[in-house]
Amino acid sequence: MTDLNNALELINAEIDGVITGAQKAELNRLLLADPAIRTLRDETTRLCQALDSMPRDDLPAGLHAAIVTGLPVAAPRSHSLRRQASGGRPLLRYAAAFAGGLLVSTLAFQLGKIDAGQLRNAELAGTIAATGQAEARMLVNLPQVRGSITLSGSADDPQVVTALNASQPVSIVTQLHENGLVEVQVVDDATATVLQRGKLRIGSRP
Amino acid sequence: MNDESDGALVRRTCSGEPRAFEGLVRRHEKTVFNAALRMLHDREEARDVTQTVFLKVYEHLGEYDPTHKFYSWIYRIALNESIKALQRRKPTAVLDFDTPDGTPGPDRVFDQRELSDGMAAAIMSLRTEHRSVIVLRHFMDCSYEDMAAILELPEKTVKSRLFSARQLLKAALENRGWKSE
Repeated sequence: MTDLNNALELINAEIDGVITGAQKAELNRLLLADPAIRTLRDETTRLCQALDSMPRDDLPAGLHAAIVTGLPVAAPRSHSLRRQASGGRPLLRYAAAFAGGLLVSTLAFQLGKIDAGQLRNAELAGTIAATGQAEARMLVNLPQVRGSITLSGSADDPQVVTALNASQPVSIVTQLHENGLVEVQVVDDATATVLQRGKLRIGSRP
Repeated sequence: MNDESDGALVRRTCSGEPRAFEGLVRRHEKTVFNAALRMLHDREEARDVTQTVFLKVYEHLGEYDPTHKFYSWIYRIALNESIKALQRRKPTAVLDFDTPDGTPGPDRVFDQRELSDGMAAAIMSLRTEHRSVIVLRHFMDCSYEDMAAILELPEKTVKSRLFSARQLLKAALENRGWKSE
């Protein structure tokens, strides 16, 4: 790296407040040795000061109100729609990253379904308890998250209802299969580790 | 002023309290508007973009990954919407990059108002990729790490682009007669 390129990197690091002690010493050496580098530093510093001192415009009158009143009446869906990398199958992921609070939410499936054959029984690890004619519930009792994930509604219109209390960020990943089976995963967001798996089907029994 | 974190407001909104979203709007609207304004140099377009950004954020709030910073997500949407607005402009649109009195001299020192106007025009003279990093760093106060996340680029690339953008901006100002003294 030439002195000029090196100096440019050091000057920008200094302006952005990320210069280390060793870099500062190196920059000082370059500044002492080369007046062109001193000029470059002065000009770049002044430019950035001018940029940072530019006034921020106030919001146009009525913009805040326009934003708020322009929002849909319905609350946003708390589940995201994602697609698997292979096959483009519907995958619903609910990032339930919260700490200490009870979160109750509902997920309505709207995408297509996939074949049940994709699931392996060995993946079943959750406790599934029927709670009624049209509900299946998976209990979650982990150090990171406790509560329940309930499948309700009908096979044609299933809904996943979560009531979870988490002590660290977790995601609930659900996947609807062709036969109405819903695969559920509780994922530790920090490590991307699946903490618990389960399968739910409307009308299922323990 | 609402002291709740962005994440808490997102969770409340998604949990059926859509009014909690107003806290997010209030917190980020001015930054989003100013970023759009610097990207577009047009208050009406910046206004439209700002409104679109918050609508999109609301509609896609469930897709927000809480392991990332909320403002990085919203700033990325703001930047993308601004770039879309630029792309919608008619190719014949010409921006006025002359100095206010039209007679730039090599050694003129601008007053604050002239400098602000000149700077805004010089920013607009940059290519979008360079303008974006200037706006993110100097108008949205993003760190290198934030910028890398927003632009989905390696941090090294972001730094290099920012350093180049500053030099290009300095040159653009000097062409307009700005003297950095």
